[in-house]
Amino acid sequence: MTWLIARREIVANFYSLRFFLSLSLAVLVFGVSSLCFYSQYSQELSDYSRNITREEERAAAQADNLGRLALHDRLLYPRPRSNSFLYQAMERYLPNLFAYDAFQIVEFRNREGGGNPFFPQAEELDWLFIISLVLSFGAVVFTYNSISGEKEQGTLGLQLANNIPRPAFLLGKYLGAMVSLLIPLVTGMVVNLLVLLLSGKVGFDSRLWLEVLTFAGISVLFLSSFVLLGLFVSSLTHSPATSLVLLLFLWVILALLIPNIGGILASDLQPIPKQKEVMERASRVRSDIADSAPEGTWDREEQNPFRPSHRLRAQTLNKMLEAELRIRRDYYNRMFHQLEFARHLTRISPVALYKYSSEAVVGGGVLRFRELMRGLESFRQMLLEFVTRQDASDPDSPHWINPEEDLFFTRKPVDYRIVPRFDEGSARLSRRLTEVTLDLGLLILFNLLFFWLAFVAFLRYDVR
Amino acid sequence: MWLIAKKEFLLNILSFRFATGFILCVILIPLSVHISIKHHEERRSSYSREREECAEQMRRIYTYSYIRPTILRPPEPLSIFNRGIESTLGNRVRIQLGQIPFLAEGALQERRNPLLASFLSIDFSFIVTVLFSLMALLFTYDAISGEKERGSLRGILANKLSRDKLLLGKLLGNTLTLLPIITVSFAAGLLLILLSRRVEFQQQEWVRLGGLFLVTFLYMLLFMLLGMFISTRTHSSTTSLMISLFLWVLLVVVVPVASPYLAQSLTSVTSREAVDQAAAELNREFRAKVREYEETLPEPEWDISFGGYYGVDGSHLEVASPRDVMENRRLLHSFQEPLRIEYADRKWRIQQTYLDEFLHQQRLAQRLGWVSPAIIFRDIASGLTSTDVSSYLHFMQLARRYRDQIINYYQSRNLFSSYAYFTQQKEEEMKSLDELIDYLTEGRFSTYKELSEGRDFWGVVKEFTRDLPRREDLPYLEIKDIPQFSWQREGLSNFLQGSLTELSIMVFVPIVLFLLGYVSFIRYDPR
Repeated sequence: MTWLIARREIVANFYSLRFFLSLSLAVLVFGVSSLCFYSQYSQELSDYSRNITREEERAAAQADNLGRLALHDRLLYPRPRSNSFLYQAMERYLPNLFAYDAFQIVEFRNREGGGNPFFPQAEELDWLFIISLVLSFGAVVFTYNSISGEKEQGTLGLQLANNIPRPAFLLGKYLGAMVSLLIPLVTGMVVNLLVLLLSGKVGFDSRLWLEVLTFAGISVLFLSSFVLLGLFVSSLTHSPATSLVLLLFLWVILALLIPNIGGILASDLQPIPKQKEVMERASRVRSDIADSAPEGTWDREEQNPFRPSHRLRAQTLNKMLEAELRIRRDYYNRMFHQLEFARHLTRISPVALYKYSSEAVVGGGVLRFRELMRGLESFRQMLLEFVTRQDASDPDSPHWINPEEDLFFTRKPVDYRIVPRFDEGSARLSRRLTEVTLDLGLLILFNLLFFWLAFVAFLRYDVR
Repeated sequence: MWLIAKKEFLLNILSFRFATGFILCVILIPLSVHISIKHHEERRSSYSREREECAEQMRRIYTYSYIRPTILRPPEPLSIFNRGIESTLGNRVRIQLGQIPFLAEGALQERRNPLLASFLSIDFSFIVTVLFSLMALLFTYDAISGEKERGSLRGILANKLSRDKLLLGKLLGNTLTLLPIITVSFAAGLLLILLSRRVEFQQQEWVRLGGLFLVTFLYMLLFMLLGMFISTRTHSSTTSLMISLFLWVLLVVVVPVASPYLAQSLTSVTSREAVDQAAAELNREFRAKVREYEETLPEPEWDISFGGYYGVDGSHLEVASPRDVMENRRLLHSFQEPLRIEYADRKWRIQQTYLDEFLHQQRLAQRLGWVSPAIIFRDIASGLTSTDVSSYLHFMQLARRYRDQIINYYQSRNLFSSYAYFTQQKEEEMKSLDELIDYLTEGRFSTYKELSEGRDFWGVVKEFTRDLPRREDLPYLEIKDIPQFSWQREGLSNFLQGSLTELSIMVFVPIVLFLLGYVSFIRYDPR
């Protein structure tokens, strides 16, 4: 029975204008998205390879003095993601350039010239955008009259006069709407993938296919939540015009407003200091340590590296760096807490949950930033250990590891090929699963909640 | 016609869609304005603090070479209504001889959490583009097709009512319904601004705000007429609803995102790293030329400096160096600074090409976006609130002009080739190295040669209590005639000139839509 209702729904939708418009829009937008992605990805790859080569050359030029190499500010450019056609995760606006040496991650910032500064901040035309805004809108349009429309036409009473249980009827409607929505979704995805496969620029390996499939699965779950919301609202009202208005305004709130309002609210409710203020505080603490340093610390006599004042200076500078890093770490923690708070505020919207789950699936955005910071910190420690090991074997070095001056530990040349190199890799699967659990769980919960609400509302629905 | 308008108005205000839309606007708009006011106040206080710091910095200069003022652009009060790109681009420019103002700084330092950039900002104009257009379509999609479906259209037209009057009546009725929503939204925003007391609106802001109200109305009118036109092309309200809604998603949601994306794919821009590298290459060339020139200068007998301080962009202080060292530095500056300016011009040519590429891309996106009234509205709103690209470019233009004034100031007074450029010592007070040694050591050593023979020079100098003046002892330079920067916002005439196409579209498209709707309605079969 359920399938019969679903089939009738699918056939009715199939010949409807809304189906034609959804399909056309999905194919058009998915097509444009793939063409644009292809051209931008090629550009990003060539920029990336140029930047990486230049950075390698810069670092290799310092290899004639290991001390200098340890203090050399290296730049890390994150590799363009081949799966960013699924979701770009606002990486264009997030910090995407890291400077580090063997002692610290000096800074992270948004790469200048990473995008046109004259464009207002906006979403990217990726799969997530199309599904979360265009197809979720399609879900609203497919379901707003599922129940109230049948009632208005007088067919609801007739159908339920037969031996059709209400849950089966509701399930049939749900399946019908889902299949009608999945046709534009799958067609659009196939068009997009075909363009990318034919372009040959994106290397489709098993990992990428797995990501595409997982992303598609989450997308279905997300669209299902909007279909169920549509059925719920349709079961609440007795006129399709009312349910449409209600649904459209709900869609505006859930899809456009709530996912973006988190940042503003979190800055207001849980403020953190400005970057500038943090840096000023760090600078003050550094000055205090410098001022209270033992006498002779700042005597610089570079001709004799074994002079005791150099040891004092190395100790003081290490202390200053530690104090500064403590302040910076505290700020980073507050930054992450504020972001998490902002995200919690928006988790009442399925669109926000869909975004966060997708971010974990593609391993991009804030998750990638966190992973990069963590990976870079481990790598930096490894680099320092390497430098310390090399320094230990140099009899001409006073072994006073100094985070700012290269004169007081080994100055011997090093074979650049044996110097450790940072490899970003992609976020570990276990990490992605941990990240996705909460949001995916909530998305499933939203589905269950909307289904239950629709079910209860429909059970109490007056079909006359 | 008035009767039709009245009927339409009464039906609308009693409808569920009016109540929902009205409540949503009344909640969302004051909320967004309230948040924007707080944001503006914070930026305003940062601006005042920074301005104070910059002024203080300019008071604490020792020589003319330190005249490197930092100029600031004040936050726009009307950014409360439309943030535009004002807060994402910087508002601070340091005037330097070796660099023509290229891109402003300051946006990042003001930021509290760079990770919150993953959220987009929502402001008044965003809510207007989304909600008002949706409401306009929801009120008009069934204006004609709905009447036909209900069978009332035939009845109405059977009377002595011309079709144009019916169409106008419908339009008037819907306008009268939606106008109070716009008015209440603006009034709520204004009330909050007046209550905040920390936002200052001058006469020009009120005029611009009036313009924004008018454009908002035109934007809504455009969507109303679009809805009515679609309604006259179809015979079922469901069909017109579907077409209206999908068109809305395309115009308001998809095109604003797709147009910059498409423009970026169609035009490529030189990478920033390549531009910076080319500039760095020129810097190296400049330094090499300076070194080359330095070698041609008569060398001081002993290149010893008592209190020499060097800063960025050629800023330099010599406290009490020997006469021949001073002369060497003077000659060097007289060659170096004009050359620095020349190289800045050469760097600028590369940077300007880079900026032009971005601007070309931005204009392409703008033109592609002309199919969307939402983009046109956003562009006009950004122009009216001075938060658009043009206002930013205007600020940078003023910064460049100000730099020219500073250079002119230096050149007209021959400061580059004067001692005053890098020292406070008068020429007649300058001493030779031997005279300085004699003075410092209170006559114990009369020449440098005598003192340095087998001794640590600085060690001996330190032993004597008689000291030369230090930088800290020097008074700050009191220069009253340095050109001052004054921020002048682009006038309304510039805005009208720059936004002529967008304004024309905003005015003519509703007229065209009305005419199309009228023609379509004349041929409409009401049976």
